[in-house]
Amino acid sequence: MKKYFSIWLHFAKISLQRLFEYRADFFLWSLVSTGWTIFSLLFYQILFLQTSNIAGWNKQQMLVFAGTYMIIDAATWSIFWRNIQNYTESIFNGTLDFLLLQPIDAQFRLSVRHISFTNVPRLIIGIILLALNLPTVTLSQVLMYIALIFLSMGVIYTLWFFTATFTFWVEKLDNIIEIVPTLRRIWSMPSDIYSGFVGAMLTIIIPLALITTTPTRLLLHQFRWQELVALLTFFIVLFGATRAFFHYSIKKYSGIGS
Amino acid sequence: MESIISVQHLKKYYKVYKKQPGLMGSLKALFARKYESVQAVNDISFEIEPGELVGFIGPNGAGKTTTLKVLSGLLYPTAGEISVLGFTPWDRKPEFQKQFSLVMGQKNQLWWDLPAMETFLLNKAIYEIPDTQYKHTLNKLVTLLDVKDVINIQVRKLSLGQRMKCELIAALLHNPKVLFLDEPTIGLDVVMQKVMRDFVREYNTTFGATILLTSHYMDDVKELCKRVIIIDHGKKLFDGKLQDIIDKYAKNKILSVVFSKETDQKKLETIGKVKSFEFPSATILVPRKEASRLAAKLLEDFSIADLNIEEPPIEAIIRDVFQNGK
Repeated sequence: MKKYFSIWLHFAKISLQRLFEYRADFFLWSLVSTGWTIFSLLFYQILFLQTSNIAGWNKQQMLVFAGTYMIIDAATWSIFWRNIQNYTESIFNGTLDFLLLQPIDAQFRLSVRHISFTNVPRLIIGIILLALNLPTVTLSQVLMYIALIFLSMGVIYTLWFFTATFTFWVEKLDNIIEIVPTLRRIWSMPSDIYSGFVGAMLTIIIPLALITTTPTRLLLHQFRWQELVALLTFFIVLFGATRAFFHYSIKKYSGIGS
Repeated sequence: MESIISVQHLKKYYKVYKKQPGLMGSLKALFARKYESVQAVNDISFEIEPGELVGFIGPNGAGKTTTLKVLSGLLYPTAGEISVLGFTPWDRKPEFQKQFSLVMGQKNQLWWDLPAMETFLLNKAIYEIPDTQYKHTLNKLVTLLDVKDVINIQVRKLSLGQRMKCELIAALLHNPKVLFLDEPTIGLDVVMQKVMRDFVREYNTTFGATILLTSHYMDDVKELCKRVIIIDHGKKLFDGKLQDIIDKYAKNKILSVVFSKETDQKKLETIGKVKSFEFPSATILVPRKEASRLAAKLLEDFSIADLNIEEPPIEAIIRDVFQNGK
């Protein structure tokens, strides 16, 4: 554990050094990410000019929801996007070789290599949004909320890593890593907007609709245990499947050329 | 002595798909692909003892890198029994991985946009190298390779030679007992090639490491390895002392002659095959076994200022081996 933490810390330090090395890149992308965030907030404002609630969520609740979504999204994007991208590239160009030679869990090594900081402004905006719209909460609620955020991030990460692992089987699948970013639409809206079969699917069997909803409900004093069970079960099963799939795929990996 | 690397009947086949040329070929391949099995390594066996420095040579596509990758646990063999340091490589046990290193001249593990020092520190954490051992080994390697001023400069700003030295350090920090070097001198200039060679020899003797080296440059092999394994088309053609290749495969010797008096080529051809003749020098190929007799005859029949009996260059012999092996 200590070894893995020190390696993670090392990677984080290196990522920071990179950030200082390429300042312009950081400022540009921070600007882009902030721009998008403001744009999506404007979208909410316009929406609530037309209606007083969305699927039972009023404006204040929706802003807490939006804050949670931003926090989860900014964090997963910062920690995992570059890594997933590099992961699939390394399969294609053969640099995965070096990682597999080292005495360290390959999935861990692949998942923590780069941390991007360009989404930090978005993370801050998300937290501000929460602070401005939050009803009174206890410390234990905040802690539980943080734990739920980690669970949601875990689900997104695992889903991402799982889909990226298909690259082993075809060697060139550029768009495979775009699947998860596209799926974000599912959890960018409260789960209550889904009904019938789709609703059951997205809240029980593949509970992606709960990724943002469940932590938000906790802050809004509407927490549902069933949702947590669904999310947690899904995460554990998917994580196990991903590990098995990853290890099986490594056997298939043949490097390139000779 | 017990061998540190043991390879028994190693086979590695790849499945590759063949595409017909052009757009129509691509369209066809979209629906039905023709797969073909390529025998990268086909039934190779050898043993290597601790501390040996063995040259692994063969033309492009002979199966050298494939063999090294199987030995490092990167590839699962199609068949065969392999043991390295007592481990089955593809189990990829950390205890095994901490004891060997693979250096590929054509690929780099160093962080491109950071100083090499960062990669060293990362490897220290990954290989769990104790502080004192890390400092000691790093100092030693940095001095040996003379890169003190280089390790804190961004890798992308280094020359190929400097980068390769840093690659070596990154690969050797954990004091591997077994080292696989795949084309370590590729693309380097002659001076740097020599530095690398000296280093490999030094590492072999000081650390007692077992080294398996592949190279296209015969000079690397000639200078470093007593023993060579030659493979081609996935098969082993030769395994033994470098000198034995000459004895086994060189059919001719070369007589280099300097004449003191004018002579004509026709007369020379009674001795052997005249490879070049430009008065006063000539080189003549003669059957190996008759070299002494024919040299004596040459001295008797001609006016000679100087005469040498030489072995053909090892490159030429090996080229012959490859060409006849097909």
